[in-house]
Amino acid sequence: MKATNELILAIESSCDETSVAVVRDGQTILSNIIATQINSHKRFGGVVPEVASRHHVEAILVAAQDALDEAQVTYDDLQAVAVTVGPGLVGALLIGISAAKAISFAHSLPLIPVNHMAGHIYAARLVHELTYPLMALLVSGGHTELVYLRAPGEFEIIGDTRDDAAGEAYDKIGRVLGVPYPAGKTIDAMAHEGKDTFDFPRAMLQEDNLDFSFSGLKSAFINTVHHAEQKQEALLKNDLAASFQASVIDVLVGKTIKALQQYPVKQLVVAGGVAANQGLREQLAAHLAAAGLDQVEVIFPPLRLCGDNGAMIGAAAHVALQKHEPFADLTLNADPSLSFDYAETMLS
Amino acid sequence: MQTQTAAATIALGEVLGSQLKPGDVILLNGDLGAGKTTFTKGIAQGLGIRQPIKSPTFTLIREYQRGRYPLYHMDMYRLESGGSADLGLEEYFNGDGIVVVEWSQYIQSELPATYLTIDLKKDAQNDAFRQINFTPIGSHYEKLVQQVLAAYHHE
Amino acid sequence: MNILAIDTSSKPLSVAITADDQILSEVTLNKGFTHSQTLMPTIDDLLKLSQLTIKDIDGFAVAKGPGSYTGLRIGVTTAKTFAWTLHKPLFALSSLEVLARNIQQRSQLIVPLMDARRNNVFAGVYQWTLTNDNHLENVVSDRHISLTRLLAEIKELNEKAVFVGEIKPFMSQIFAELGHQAEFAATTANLPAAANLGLAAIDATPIKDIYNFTPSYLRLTEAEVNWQRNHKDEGHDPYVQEV
Repeated sequence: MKATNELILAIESSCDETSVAVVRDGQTILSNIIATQINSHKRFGGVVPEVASRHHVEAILVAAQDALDEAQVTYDDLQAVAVTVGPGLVGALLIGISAAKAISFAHSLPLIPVNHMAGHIYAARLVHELTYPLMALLVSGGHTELVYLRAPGEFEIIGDTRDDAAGEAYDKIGRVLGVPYPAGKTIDAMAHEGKDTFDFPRAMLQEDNLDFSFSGLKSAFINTVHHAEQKQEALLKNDLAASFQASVIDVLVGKTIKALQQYPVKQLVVAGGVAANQGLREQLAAHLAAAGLDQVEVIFPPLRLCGDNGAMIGAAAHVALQKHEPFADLTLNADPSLSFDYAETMLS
Repeated sequence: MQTQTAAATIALGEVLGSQLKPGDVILLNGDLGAGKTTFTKGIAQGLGIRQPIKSPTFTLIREYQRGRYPLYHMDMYRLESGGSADLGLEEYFNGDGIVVVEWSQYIQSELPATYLTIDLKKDAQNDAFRQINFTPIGSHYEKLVQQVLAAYHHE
Repeated sequence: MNILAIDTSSKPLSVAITADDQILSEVTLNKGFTHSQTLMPTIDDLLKLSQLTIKDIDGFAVAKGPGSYTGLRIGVTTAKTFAWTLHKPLFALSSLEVLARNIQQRSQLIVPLMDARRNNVFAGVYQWTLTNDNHLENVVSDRHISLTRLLAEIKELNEKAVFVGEIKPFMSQIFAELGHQAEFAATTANLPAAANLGLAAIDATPIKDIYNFTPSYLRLTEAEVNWQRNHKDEGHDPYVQEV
């Protein structure tokens, strides 16, 4: 690809991270400032929307200034401002959008609206060249989706959760295990110390579709713990964690392999917060080889780019810019339920 | 009411969905796994929404704009530690669409004066059976329940 | 000095451009649109109609609260981002004072209020200073308070008071409690006028730390209140932290 030296200032504020980045040509990070609110929300056992919005107002300009300083760029160097418009918490999204609009208006820069999930996928672009068609497995607190990309920026959901997202299931069973929020990392570590002894259900694994379901697993887990409590039996927490994680990963891996068999691609991007999960990384590699899919290159963005960050928004904005997608006008609003289009087979 | 399969639960939801009008508020109660999301799927189908319905826990409110009327599906589970007064929920309750609320006990103080409560309960003997109770508050919802039951039995 | 003034603290949106003590232009929208959709287009229109560009603006003024949380954040984030990115001063005024400035009676108390639901209001008490015609003194600080308590306090002040702002739902209650001690602003005065904000800004001190400037919500979040009830202040790690 021709180096255009195109610089985008990208802003992300969809949940509990305020992040501003400067990205060159959608692949080189000049700065990626991430201010996390985790110390605040862990007090409440989860993200409280109004608290998140308030923190974003405190953090947004500090992050923006630091991003410009670290990248050593001025507004004259920029080609565009990009911002997450959804999905996410409406009040939180509006802070990034308000700031992005003001910067773009003040300096006559085009404003690129970005789907947060496109950002997660294109985080991979910051570490690896992508080839199409491409498959992405998106797993986070709010999403569990298989997305097929025929070409750059053309997203189609071919598999989705029927109920809870994988990350959400982690947080819910984390409460039962007494693991502080956010529970994913701790449960992952506990799982490595335990064994899959409980044999929780693998929902929908035998079905032909590419959909996921985690609410049955969540119920089975809770029932197991409650029954043991009633009988005053002590259960090994590490084994519970290992059994839960084994079920989640089996389903994620099983459905991903099914998707790769139905939609031949050269690359698989695993993205979103749960992509940081070590168990998932190990199992996916092992099962792809076993299924004879070892020619598929698996790309896990580095941990820092798996969580919410501005650089991934800049990478996705670059793709939109290349495709000459329309810029946002001044009426741009948050779209908290924004989603990629579903494949026709997914519609009822 | 009793339904014996998930499909029947969806069908009942669909009948309800087809009768709903903008401004209607439905509170769905039931334990984890009682079928709240399944029932909501039915409501969505009744509204002509073709998109899959998913848990809205993460963003609290999921909007579906592509049906006959907008559907606002709320899951207030994360508000156990408070925060409902800060959400601006009244705009949804007085808005242009239909609101379905799960875990409404956490937003008691924000609820409108009238609504329809639906309790879903798993049968102790049979895992697939659901006991579904309608409790209308206000004459509008009393009438709605009569219409729904008539239409459901007619089918 | 050209000032762009923004008030998105309640349902109406008001934007104005002032030049020193002159009002150049003002738009107030009261159609219940979301501020996120209307604020920037309104700013754009107003600049064009005033034959100015954003670079001609020498300072930004914003109604900092109290009011609707989301609305406040849109106005404050927009104003502070403009001030920061264009290296211009930022001025902030109580959104209740903005309302109070609609009232010209110089001898009476002025009680601006906003509906905070369940018979609570955001309210303060203001009075014009006789010696300085651009200075409105804040007699009783802005607060989140039950209407009953507010009215009891006003009664004790025993002076004529003009109520202004979102007074419509409370008029009969106010009159029942205060009788002829209470006066009510005319309909035209009950909407915020951003021009008042711009005119007041010329005598105001600019915000020193634009980065950390946040709205005056006057209320902790419900979650925070519950948390503080059960936890002593033992100090904590920074709630927002670059990583």
